[in-house]
Amino acid sequence: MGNKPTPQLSGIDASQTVWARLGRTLYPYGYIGPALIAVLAVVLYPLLQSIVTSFKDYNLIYAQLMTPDFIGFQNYLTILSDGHFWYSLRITSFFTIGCVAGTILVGLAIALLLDQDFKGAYIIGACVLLPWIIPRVASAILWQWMFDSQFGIINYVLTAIGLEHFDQFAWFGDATTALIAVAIVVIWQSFPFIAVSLTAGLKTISTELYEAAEIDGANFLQKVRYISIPMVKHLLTTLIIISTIWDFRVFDQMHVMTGGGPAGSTELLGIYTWRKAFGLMEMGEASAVAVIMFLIVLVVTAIYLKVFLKEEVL
Amino acid sequence: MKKLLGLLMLISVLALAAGVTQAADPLRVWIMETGNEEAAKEFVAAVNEDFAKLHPNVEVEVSFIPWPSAQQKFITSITGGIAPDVAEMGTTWNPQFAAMGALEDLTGFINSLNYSDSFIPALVESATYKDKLYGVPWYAGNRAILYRKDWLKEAGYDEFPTTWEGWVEVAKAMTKDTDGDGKIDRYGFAANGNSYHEFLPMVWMAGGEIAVETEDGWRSGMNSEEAKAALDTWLELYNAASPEASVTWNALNSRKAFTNGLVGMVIDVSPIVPRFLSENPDLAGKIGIAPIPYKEKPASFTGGSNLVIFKQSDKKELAKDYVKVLMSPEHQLAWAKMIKFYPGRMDVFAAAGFYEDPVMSVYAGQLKYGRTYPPTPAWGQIEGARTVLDNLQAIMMGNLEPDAGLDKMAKEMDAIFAKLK
Repeated sequence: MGNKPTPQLSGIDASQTVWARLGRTLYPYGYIGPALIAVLAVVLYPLLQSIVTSFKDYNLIYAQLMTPDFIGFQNYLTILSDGHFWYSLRITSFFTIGCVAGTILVGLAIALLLDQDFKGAYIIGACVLLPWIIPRVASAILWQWMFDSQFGIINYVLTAIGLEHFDQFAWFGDATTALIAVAIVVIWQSFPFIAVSLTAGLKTISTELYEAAEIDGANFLQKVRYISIPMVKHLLTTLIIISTIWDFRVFDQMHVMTGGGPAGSTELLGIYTWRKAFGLMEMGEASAVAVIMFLIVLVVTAIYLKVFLKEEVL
Repeated sequence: MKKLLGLLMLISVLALAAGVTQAADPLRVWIMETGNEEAAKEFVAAVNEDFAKLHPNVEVEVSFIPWPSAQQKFITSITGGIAPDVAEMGTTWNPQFAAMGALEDLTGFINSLNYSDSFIPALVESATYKDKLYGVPWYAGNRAILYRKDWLKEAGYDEFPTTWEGWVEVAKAMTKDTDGDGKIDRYGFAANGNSYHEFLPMVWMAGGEIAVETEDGWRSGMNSEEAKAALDTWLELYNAASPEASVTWNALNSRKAFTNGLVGMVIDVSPIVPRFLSENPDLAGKIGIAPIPYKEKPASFTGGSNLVIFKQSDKKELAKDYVKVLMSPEHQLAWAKMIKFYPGRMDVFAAAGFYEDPVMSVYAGQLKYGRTYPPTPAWGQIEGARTVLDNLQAIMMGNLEPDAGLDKMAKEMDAIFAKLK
């Protein structure tokens, strides 16, 4: 008590302004505080937890009996010396590139279509959203039956139009065709989001630009190439980054349709991690894979930003 | 007098409070979902009624757990200290949870039961961990050959064979191009490459072991001559008599193929027979049932469930009494009939005439040869890592030579065994 300076008359004013100023600086934190805490709890804590676990000999079975030991980089060495990890990384990369390219191209095409003024654009716009609304696992099961070798409609149609090769064709019997089949499903499920976002972006472009280009004699493709795409470049970059992150860790569709098989040949990194965690029960190794995947996504995102937004950075 | 009255009141309040705590803290029982919720609830009500005769003041809370998420649920509940008192435990998981130290040692309890020598042997094998018993055999199911009698006859055979040579022969003979367009449109067998229970038991039937426990721990037997013989026959069946796509099949696919007349032979469980008939009434009278042919000795994979008591339970004596009620002949039979498998007590099903039923008798005949996958906690990991299936599929697809594939399988299995603690 004794140490506290007794407030003086002039000091009251001063402290009021201090409080007011402090209040003004603290207010925003007060507002974002709850959200920030929530984000830290659901993002940062699990992230740190998996980093810590990745350095432990953490087996789900034995963790009950004895506290897992820290084993340094042993889990990372195990993973990096596993041939199947590198195979998985390779197919995941190809799969991601294919899915992102497919998703963006289809999404852009649909967005350009929806950007045209024609009757029924709204109805088509609503229909486009359907694949996105259906739960992923449910539609993966539907597609699995459509690709079925004996009873699937895809083989039926392909055979009916004269492609005899597809009679009883086992799509999931081989890594390449299985990856293609699942990529089709992933693209089918993710293009609506891209299409809708890009449509919104395209709508913001002033029609005067197009009119000016038309006067100069530009055709449709030239307008797309020199006006539409440059105008939505930032949006497009963001969408490509989001798609890359999504497609890099595809799990549900592959888990439902191939389970990573046959013979582990379609084991994307997501499935590989899951198998380490809940198949082998090796949480340490699984966390190591998760951390490696996190780093890869981080680097790829950085490269994207650098390449796509070069002008702005310079 | 007033004092006495006060004391009495205090006692009654305490008693009431005790009753309340007991009611709020029931005996918790987990049973797996059966696909027929109403029948299961009726069964549980009858069991609880009998249990109430022994312990009228104990409330019982039974939860039905879906199979696919059950293993995770057990692990989380154990970690969180909220494991149930009594639970149904899938046989292949039993050793894993025993190794975790989560289960109560029931050796003494089981030996005290007067029917302890009449359990289905495969269930006892699955409940055993380090010479102690951690589960009471509750019920079992096994597999037999289901085949198209009409196709067999058409191919010129009257009886289903009992040897592997004969098996391959009829499977080939049943495989046909029926419409003459140069393409095979029906197959003699479904060689499911994404499932354990068709291929793996053949190793036993060839006289081998999937893995054996030695003084230095478990060792894989998948690179033995017997396993090679099993694989050779399996590949013959696959290459000559099974759809190419069956490398990615499990029982769900082969069932569909059998119902639709694409394949004429599957290895499957008994409850599936009525389902085939309800999905395709044309199959009536055309489904034959036979024991699985063998090379050296008969064997069949026998799965099912044991009843376990968790170490965390603070009501172990009550839990044991509940298990006793579940194991009584009346409830054993009611449950077995409902799920169409076998009661864990062979004295019960011998008495109930399971052997006379034409379908069940074939299955029941194989029960005494029933085996279970190596009862070690590592088996769950071996299944989880797809050590067997990935290599089997790679061999079937021709990506791995059979011998090299089996060596790889054995080596990977041994690596998981080596990490056992």
